Amino acid sequence: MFAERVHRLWAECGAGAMRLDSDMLHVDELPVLEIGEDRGRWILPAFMSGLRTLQPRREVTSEDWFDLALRLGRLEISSESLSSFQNWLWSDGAEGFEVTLDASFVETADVIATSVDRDFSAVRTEALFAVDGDTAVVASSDLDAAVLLPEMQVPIESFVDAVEGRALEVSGGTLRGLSEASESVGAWASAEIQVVLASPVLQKGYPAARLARRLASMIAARCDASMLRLLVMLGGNAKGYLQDVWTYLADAGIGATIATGCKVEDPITAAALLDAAARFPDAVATELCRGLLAREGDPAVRVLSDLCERLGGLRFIARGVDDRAGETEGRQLAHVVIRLGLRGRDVDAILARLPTPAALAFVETTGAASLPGDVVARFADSGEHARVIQIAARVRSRDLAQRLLDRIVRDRGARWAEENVLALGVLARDLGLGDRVVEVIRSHRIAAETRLALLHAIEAAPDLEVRATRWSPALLLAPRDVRSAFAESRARRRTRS
Amino acid sequence: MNSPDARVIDEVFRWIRIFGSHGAAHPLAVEASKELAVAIADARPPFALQFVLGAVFRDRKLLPLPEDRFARARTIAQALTRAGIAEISFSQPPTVNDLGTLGAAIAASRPGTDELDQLRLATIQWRSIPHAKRGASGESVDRDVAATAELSLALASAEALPASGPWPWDVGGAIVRRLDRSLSLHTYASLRAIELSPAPWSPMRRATSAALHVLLALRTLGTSAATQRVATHAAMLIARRGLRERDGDIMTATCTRILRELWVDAEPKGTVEPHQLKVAAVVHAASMGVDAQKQFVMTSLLFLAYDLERRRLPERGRVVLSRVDLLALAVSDRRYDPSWVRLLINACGVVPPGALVELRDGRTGVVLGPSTHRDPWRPEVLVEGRIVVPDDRVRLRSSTQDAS
Repeated sequence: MFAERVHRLWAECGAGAMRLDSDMLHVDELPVLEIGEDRGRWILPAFMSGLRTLQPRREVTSEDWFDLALRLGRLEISSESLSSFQNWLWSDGAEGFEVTLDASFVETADVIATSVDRDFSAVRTEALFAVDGDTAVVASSDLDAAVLLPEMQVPIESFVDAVEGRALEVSGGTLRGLSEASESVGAWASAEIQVVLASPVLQKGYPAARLARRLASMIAARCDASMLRLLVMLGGNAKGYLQDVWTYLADAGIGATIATGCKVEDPITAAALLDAAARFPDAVATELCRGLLAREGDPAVRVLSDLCERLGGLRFIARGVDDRAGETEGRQLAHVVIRLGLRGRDVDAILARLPTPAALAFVETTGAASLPGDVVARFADSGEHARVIQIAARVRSRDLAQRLLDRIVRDRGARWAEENVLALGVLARDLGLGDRVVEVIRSHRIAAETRLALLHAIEAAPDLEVRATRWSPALLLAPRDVRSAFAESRARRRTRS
Repeated sequence: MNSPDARVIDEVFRWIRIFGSHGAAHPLAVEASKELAVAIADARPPFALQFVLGAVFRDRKLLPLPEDRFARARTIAQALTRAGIAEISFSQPPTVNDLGTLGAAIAASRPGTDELDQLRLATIQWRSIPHAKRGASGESVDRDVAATAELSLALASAEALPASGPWPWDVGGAIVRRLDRSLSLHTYASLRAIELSPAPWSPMRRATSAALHVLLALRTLGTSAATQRVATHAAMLIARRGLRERDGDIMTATCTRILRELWVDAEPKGTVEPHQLKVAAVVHAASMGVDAQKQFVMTSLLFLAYDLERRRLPERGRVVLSRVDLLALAVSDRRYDPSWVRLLINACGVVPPGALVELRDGRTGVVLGPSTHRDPWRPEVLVEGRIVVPDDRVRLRSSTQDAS
């Protein structure tokens, strides 16, 4: 519970690095804890063990805090305790933390004592003198006469020639290549996984949860094609230990991490992503597809289009779309549809799966010519009046206009902006829904401003206006501005006639 | 805590305070000397106390003290190092008289004087340790001496590494840390110390050399500290298990054996830390044969470092090849990755420490390291027991040429 609280508070306050002096703990260079009677007693031994800074990583967990606290609590000023703690830190045991270490007091005292200990057995006095100055003595073994073996003829002349000919220089490209290869996250992860899988005994000392966490951390740091290929190799049909690894990876949201972190613009990574989405276990693949859909830009669209072709439209939609899909997902899907030239039933199937906000963005982006019935109903109820009216105007959907008018009646005109009502009125009139508009105008349940806006919308249709403003006893109950507007309309017509 | 050691600290603390504030003639000073004599006798001499970095060590082992005693120990260490004493040895229980004399001398001593050097006591010895006052980053130490000392300690620890069975991770880690510090302090002093040590080229020394050169290559490359640690540790592990008195097993066979010994036969004790897993991963990759190794370039570097040390002492004959001989062999051998070979040569220098060279005047010497000249062919050379910087470019010779 304590660890959870520390974990939560640390994340909340957004603190950075802890730095240790021999008697003080600093956080973000501010002194926060001094050694006292009953607090901070771990600071000195931790400092003596060589610990200098400690910074929680993004992926730090409450278990990491707990483990660290446990070890700090057990620290004491003794060679064994300090060395053990130092070894734990040095071996990356503090998994949730970035650590910097100096030499421990024990190691430093050793080296200081050694530098004056001239009878040291491994490197005798001569070696130390050799760095000091004039009295140096060459190791006799190096100059010993040796029996020369023909096969040991050392090509020293050709070595010199190569040096002189600058054939042994290292180019910047070579250095970069070696450096990148040495640090390749994929290569390291692959090697680690292979050794764990090769040794069931090792799996006991390195449980699936830890391996999964390590993989997740590597992927968060760098998600390249090699890393993706490695995960693909682990496969969706994993059993036993690997299956557990995948379970933890899914819990850690690895699909979303990959989708967010991978370079979709890199063709090799993009190809690896396709494999990954097709062959990861379902839960992770689904999360990956959803994450990819949430990314914006053309490169993402290219990958999504390839993925749609690879998986098939329906499977792609099943994986990529859920209730959380928003406008970005809708727009990206629309771009995929355009890119692939999909139409008709395929598009309707996609639309049917999309939540309303995503569907709106999808329809706006594709410029779809028609809308399935269920989508019409959802759009009408979406509350996005202006956008839906625009869509209805573009697709000339009488059904949608009708439903929007019904919606006005249900809402009694409340929360409807005047310009939207006006636009809807014009659209409804043009689509042959004048009778329904007249009904709404004459309904005393509707807000006055809505009725007036609709009346304004049918000004260009005199017959409708006549019917809408015809006097009746019920008008006596209408608000004054409605009565006035109706009366003005009637008067205008009389004058004209 | 009332251990004899803690009591010694308490009594030394009291003894210093009383001598410092009341002087040697005060009755309390005599009493303090008596109490201290008893405490030291109870702690069973012979033993030595070292005062380094403000901490107290008994026979070079840090005294386990609680915080309150540690504060006292720090005061004692500061007072004694101010008087030029970094180590006090008790070959037998000290007499009260000797303690009184020493206490008075310490109280009267002034920093920077050698008053205590003139004093001789039968039951107490003391000495200064030149570098005991060094700062945490070693700025007040001769860096090459400190580098040699770190390397010497690494070599000494390597001697304790077992040739088979479970790997002592803590010892291996401590060796890697020392190699790292050694290279950080003074690269050429480290290379010189490993190459020119008069000790025989035992498997341990060759294993340490292999690990040192892997570390050197990766440092030159600028890889992360974690990668350097892992590769160096793996190199040490592989070389220690594979090298024999002369020659050694081929690396893939060695790695296969290591994996079996590490975790197939023996379950890991407790949890396996990420560093250990990565070391095992490197060893596993290195056991997979050349084609598989190409997938993980780190193993090519390990193969190079290991195989060169294997060839340093060929099975037949008494040849001992120097580093430059090995580098020359590496250049002409297609089994090694040329990129790593070139990197290693650039890291060691084309005329590395230990290389046998001929001067223009015909004398032969051994290279100690680069000189202040920019020309790499004019290094510091040890000739007839003296260090010289040649007037002209030297000529490389191989150890086997010399032998002929």
